[in-house]
Amino acid sequence: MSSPDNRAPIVKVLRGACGDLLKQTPMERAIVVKDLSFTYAGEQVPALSHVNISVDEGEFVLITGPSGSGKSTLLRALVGLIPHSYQGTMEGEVKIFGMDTKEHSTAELSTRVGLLFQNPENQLFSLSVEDDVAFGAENLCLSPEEITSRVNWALDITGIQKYRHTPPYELSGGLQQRAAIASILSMKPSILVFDEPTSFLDPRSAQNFVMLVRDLNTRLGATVIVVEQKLELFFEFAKRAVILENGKVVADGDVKEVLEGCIEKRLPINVPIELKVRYISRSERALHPHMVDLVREVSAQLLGGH
Amino acid sequence: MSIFEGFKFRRRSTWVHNLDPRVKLALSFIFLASSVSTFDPMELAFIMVIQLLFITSSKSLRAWLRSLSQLSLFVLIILISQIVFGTGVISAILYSCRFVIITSTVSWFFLTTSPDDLGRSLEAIGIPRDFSFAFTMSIRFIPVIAEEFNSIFDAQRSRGLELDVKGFRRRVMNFLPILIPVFVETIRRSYEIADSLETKAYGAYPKRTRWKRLELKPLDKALAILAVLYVFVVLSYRLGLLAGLIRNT
Amino acid sequence: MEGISVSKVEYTYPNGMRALKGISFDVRRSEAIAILGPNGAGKTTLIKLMNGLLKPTSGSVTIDGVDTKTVPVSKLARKVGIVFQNAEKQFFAETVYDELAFAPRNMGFQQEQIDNMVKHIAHMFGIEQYLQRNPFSLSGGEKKRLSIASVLVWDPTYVIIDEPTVGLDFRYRRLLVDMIRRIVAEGKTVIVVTHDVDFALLTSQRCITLCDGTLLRDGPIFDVLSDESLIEKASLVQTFTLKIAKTLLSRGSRTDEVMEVINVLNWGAGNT
Repeated sequence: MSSPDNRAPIVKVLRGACGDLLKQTPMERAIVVKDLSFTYAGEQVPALSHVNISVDEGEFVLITGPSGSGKSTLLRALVGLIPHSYQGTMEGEVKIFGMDTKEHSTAELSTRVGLLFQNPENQLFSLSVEDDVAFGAENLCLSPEEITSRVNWALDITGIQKYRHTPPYELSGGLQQRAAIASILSMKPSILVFDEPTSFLDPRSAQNFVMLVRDLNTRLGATVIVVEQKLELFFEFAKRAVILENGKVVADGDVKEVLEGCIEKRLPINVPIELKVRYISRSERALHPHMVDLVREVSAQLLGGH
Repeated sequence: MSIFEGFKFRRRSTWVHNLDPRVKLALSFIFLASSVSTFDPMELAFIMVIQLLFITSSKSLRAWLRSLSQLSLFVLIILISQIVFGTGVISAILYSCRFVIITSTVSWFFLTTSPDDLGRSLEAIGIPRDFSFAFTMSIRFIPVIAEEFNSIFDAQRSRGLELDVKGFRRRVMNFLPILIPVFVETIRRSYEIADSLETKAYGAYPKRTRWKRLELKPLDKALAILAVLYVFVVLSYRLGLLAGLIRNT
Repeated sequence: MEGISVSKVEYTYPNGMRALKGISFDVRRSEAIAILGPNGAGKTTLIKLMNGLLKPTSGSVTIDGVDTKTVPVSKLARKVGIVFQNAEKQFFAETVYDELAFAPRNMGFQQEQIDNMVKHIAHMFGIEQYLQRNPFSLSGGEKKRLSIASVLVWDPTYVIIDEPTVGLDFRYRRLLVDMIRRIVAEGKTVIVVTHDVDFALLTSQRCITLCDGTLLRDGPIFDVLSDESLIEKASLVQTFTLKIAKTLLSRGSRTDEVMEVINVLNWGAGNT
């Protein structure tokens, strides 16, 4: 549930950013990817091929696919790194709240959409957490008072106030992850994109991380896009899943339906076992029928307990 | 490696640590300049006492002593070489004293100034912000790269790589399987950092806000005045000596 | 005297940190063991003690009767192969062939032998078509396979893999499980350090849990993972597969039946 109070700062801050870098277009959808194709310079095979995806504000979308399917490329296209930092041929368009990524710089887009890369270590450059959190806000030329208030807000939301003076090197993976998130939040983007965020986390930290992301979506109203391989962590919270394979969208819809579709279509996806259980009788390896029934009963019991 | 201990920043809250880094930079420079330009044992002793004052006030005595014990080798070399070159025992001792003073000055400066503050004071003396940012970022990544070096070192040794081989050329070649991966990884890292900088709007505006400004506090101003007085006293002492010498000849 | 013997091993780092506080266990040939535990438990330290990179501060580690304190790493590595985490970052050679040949060359094998070893392992990992390519040009999954192949190439008797499934996608996870099972059947010992409970269940019969430098439990994997308090201490997350397995066991199913269910759940059901 996103309270209006939590929404207001996002809008207020867009206005507070210096210059009239941004034109407000509240009637536009959060993300519109239309017929996007991209081939990296020097490559023959396109990384993305005629991708069409639209995302509304407040959605929680899970994107997955085998390695090499174009997930990272798509994320880069969402924040403007493609086409501005990566060489190649881009066709089609990507619009963030109506802003065409071909016509707006990555810096302009950064106040609308923030990207958290896989390795938090390489997203923290300062010698203390609070300096890193302030970094983006400094780059936007906000006033020192505004920066102070944003830094406190971001540290609060991510729960790392007490680490504000700690150098990033001394933080554990999970805390580094939070510091990196805070450093993006201080720019107050309303869309947050995460690239395989749990890769460097142990299972406990990964669970805590998922809680944080869920809060960002439900309490702050952030639009969340997560690219993941470990689907079992997110499939309970995401409403929608998009599957990419070889640069194309092969499925897009309700999480459970899409993932079960993967089982049917035999796509090489890490479908969570909770969903696979239903198909247990359809396996190539013969399980004794009484075992099949037993497993079905047990899993129904375990799932029913949720 | 404990030579470096006397120069590695430790987070404390003494008055020395809290001094404005520009003032510290100026003070260190003044002490360095004045010690290098004199052979007067009284002066050198005076300067040394001041350095000890800074060192003890910043609770860095042990670190300083530790690195001094490592540097004692150098002190010995200087002493012996000066005696060998025939400048006399007294001046050999004075050269060694100067060396100790210089390292002490540099020592308390780096012990009490965070790399952050260092970066800010570099900006204050006119170095462009981009450079000081690159400077602090390099410092930030030093431990990361060191750790990577160690893990690649372990990995290649586990694949049978021997580094204790005979022959200079072979020794160097055997380091390549360690150096190349670290190098490659560092380059890859810098691309990732660049992407991250882009998405944080680095370079959107020619002048970014300075969230934290350096501000001179009363103690800083007091020390600045004392520094000026010190220079004055030193100069007049030397000129006084000089004047005395001229009068006597 | 075959096997690895870890005897009352303690290890304290130069900076004073006590990473291991007295660990003992034995490992035989043809065993598959999973080592589980939270970050900071001492798992990586333990691994490094097994090939002599680190020597115990007290206690001893013997590999096939040889004390690791008496022999250099390059000799011990002949028997104990370790695939470290992020091993994809250790590439330096110009071709995949040279990368694979690196260790055998260091260990003094003959050119012809090396050629056979490289071709054999490349075939096993499905990367023979890449032998003349630059390792840096491979995709993520291919790099991961190459990094494991670079250690298996010289056929070490004991293979230790640190976090093999991080970043590994679905297809290669299966390849890895199958490969581990195959080499264990051939007589090798595989020790896997992992947080991936399902992977542990699929590859290992025995499980050792470490926490805070001490060995909490050492036993058959189902026994160890059924211990609720252990799961808590070892900072593990119970996967759905594990929950099903435990419930089935508590209802009297046999271990081999439950293993079959686990296999089917992970791969049989629906997808390949």
